[in-house]
Amino acid sequence: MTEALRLSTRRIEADAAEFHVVELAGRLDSANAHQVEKAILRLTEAGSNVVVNCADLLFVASSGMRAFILGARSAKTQRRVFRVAGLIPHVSDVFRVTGLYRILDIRPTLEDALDQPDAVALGS
Amino acid sequence: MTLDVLVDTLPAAPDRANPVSPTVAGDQFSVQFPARLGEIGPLISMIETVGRWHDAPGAVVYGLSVVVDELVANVVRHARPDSAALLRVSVAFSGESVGLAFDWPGESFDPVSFETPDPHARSDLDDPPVGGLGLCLVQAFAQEMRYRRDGDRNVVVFERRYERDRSVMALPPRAAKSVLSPGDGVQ
Repeated sequence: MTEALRLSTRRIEADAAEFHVVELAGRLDSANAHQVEKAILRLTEAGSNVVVNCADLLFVASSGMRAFILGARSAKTQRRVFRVAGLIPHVSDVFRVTGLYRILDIRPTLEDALDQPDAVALGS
Repeated sequence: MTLDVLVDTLPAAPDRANPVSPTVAGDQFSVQFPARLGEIGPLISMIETVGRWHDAPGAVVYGLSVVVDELVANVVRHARPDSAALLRVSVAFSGESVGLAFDWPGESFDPVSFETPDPHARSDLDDPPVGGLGLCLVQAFAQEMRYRRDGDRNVVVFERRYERDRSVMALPPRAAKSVLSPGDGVQ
């Protein structure tokens, strides 16, 4: 049975860049999407590079994708990186049919999302 | 009683002799609950359990869960149901097809008639309106969607045929075969 949402954040330094990783697990539905949106926007509006790790995210509906879109837009405004990592197949399908695969920066794994040269460097 | 309590009462297999508050009649499962967002999680848990009863593929259960989330959220946010109104959901499996019916009392509200933007027309982050994604997802799963008024109630029905081991989330040409019993399970 799909668990309720679990959300946590941590800071990681990788390749001379600093990222805040938002870990999502369980079910991101319309009842809890606002909580995720707030957590993501708090980081992006503060000028952080953000990776949302979805490796343990088992369900997402459109309200959850709204959080990703708004986070990516906010990061773009701040000239920071916003990436989504580790989508499982069912969740990946949702991103595909809504066209978000083409406009969001989606990486296969968290390691891929952190190990990239185009991240904004520390202190820039 | 909220759905949280009912989830714990669902047996691993349907007990047709002793149906709990959610009812099982033939291959049809029904439950009613207050129209509020907090019921979405428990309702999805129920859909997962019923899907297991029928050995439904994970992709089908996921698609049903998406439809449930989107429909309940739309009704709660836009249909302005009476605070005491109960939203009823029925699920019916028939071979390799499934039907899902919602009904609730209140003002006329057709959640499936809205036009959705073409999700693949957007090319940039700043393009898409944030809205419209939910109905886009529902359309990606359901091959058939119908709305009708039944007295003072709104009735919405979704149907989907599926093949095992195939993704069911796509934007397919519309084709449908009715799998719900007459009355769409909302007697």
